[in-house]
Amino acid sequence: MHTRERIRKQGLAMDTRITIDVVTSRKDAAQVGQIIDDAMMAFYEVERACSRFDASSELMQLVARPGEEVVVSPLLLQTVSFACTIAELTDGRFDPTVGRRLQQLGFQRHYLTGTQLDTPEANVSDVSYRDIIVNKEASTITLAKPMVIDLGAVAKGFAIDLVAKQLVDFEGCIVDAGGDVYLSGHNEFDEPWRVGIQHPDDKGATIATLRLSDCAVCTSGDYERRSPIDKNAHHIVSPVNNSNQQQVRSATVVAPFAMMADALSTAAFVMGLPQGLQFLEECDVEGLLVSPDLSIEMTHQMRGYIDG
Amino acid sequence: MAKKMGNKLVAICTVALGAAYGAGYLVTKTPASASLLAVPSSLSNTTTASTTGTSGGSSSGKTLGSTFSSNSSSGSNSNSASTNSNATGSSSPSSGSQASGSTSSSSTSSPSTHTTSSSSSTAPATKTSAVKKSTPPAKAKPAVNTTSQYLDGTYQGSGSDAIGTVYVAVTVQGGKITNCQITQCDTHYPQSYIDPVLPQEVIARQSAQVDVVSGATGSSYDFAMAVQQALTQAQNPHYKG
Repeated sequence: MHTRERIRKQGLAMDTRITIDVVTSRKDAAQVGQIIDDAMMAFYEVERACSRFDASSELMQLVARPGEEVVVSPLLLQTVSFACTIAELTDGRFDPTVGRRLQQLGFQRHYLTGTQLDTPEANVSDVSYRDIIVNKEASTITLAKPMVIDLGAVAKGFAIDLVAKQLVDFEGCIVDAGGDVYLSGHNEFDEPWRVGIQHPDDKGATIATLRLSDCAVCTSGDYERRSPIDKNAHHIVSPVNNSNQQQVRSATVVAPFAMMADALSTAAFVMGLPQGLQFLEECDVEGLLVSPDLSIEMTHQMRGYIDG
Repeated sequence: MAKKMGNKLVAICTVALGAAYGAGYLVTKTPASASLLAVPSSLSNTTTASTTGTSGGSSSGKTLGSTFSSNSSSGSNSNSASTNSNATGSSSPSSGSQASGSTSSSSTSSPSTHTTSSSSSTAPATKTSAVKKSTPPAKAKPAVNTTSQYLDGTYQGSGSDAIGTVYVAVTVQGGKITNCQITQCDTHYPQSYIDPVLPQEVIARQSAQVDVVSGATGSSYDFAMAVQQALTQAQNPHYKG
């Protein structure tokens, strides 16, 4: 008889709660725990590179030097570059230069130290992803104007992918960073993973259940983080009018990578219905949008993932 | 057209991951020298991390590994606050940090019902302090650190939220917070048998909701109290920043 165990480790990183589950028939639970701990360090590596809340992060060091061509690490280069790609795809409706606006809305507090970081000299509206010049060959980024870049919709996904890549050899694993997840293999019952989609109005409930594996599932919702300054504002702002669209409550995306699912769910959320859904179809990913009346609209193939 | 965009994004993600790996990030990039210390594997990451701190000028850190397993006293966590002060040559540890240290000691020693790795993770501060005490020459050397807000080490804290009391272990290395583990939930799931499955288990399994929830509460503000408690102990009394 052969048993599988599910081993869990949790931590705090990137302003969220990280939960990593590994399914294994290995008996050396302590060793497996160490492997998980080691893998989890990727979150802190990415955080040190990409945090908007830490003045000493590589990102904020870059932000402090507008107009200069700055050599950056692969972590920052890849995340900024990917954010710009998504911005291009969405024609600027998704834009990483919303950082200053997020600061103004009160999203500028470091979750561990409580220190607040403001960049008042940065542009709020007169700036876009086109003012970010990425030179991949030289590994440099130049910010054409003073701005604050927010990688909140990309970096966490990237970190999830990096962690998951180190754990895919186990029979199964879940890397969950505050509701953005990557799942591989099977659960301890040898079934595909069951993923609930958070209900926008009921913390303890799910609005749909998916059954899938070897992919990422990310959800962007209006219910998650409210601005401490403007109660009607949340943490996902569209750069087009610098306010929140009201069309959907949440957007869920299933994609091969968490970085992709993370960014595309934010983009689809910002675009609302029906454009967000169309956009997901164009990007060849599956997704599900919850409208204000809590009805669900999904891409064509999404139904295949719905459980029951 | 449609499929091309999807392929393009997949390709970009693949390259991005490859670039991070190619640059030597991750892959067994354990807290640097942690593995060199040959710490018993039952001790968690927080343990090893705490012994590798260097910025405080405590070269004695290197010696920790050898004496590591010799000391297993518990409940002396309150020493950690004062020890850190000692390490920087202070003769007047702030009463605040000591107070919080002892608070934490009572709370961190309580989760004894958890796994061995979890309960042993409360030990590093204890051991650090014990070792440093036993090697007095080490504390004469280090210069007073005035540039780091936090002193290296692993600090415990606890706080309550909706799911009960939460225990965290915040690790500071080089004056920066390098990781923050939730030690309370560091537990093993009950073993489950693939074959044969008891009928009750099947039923329980089906009614058991889901493995994970996408879009679920991502906020860590519930943990702020626990983290702040830990960081109070980590404060560098000589910080001039």
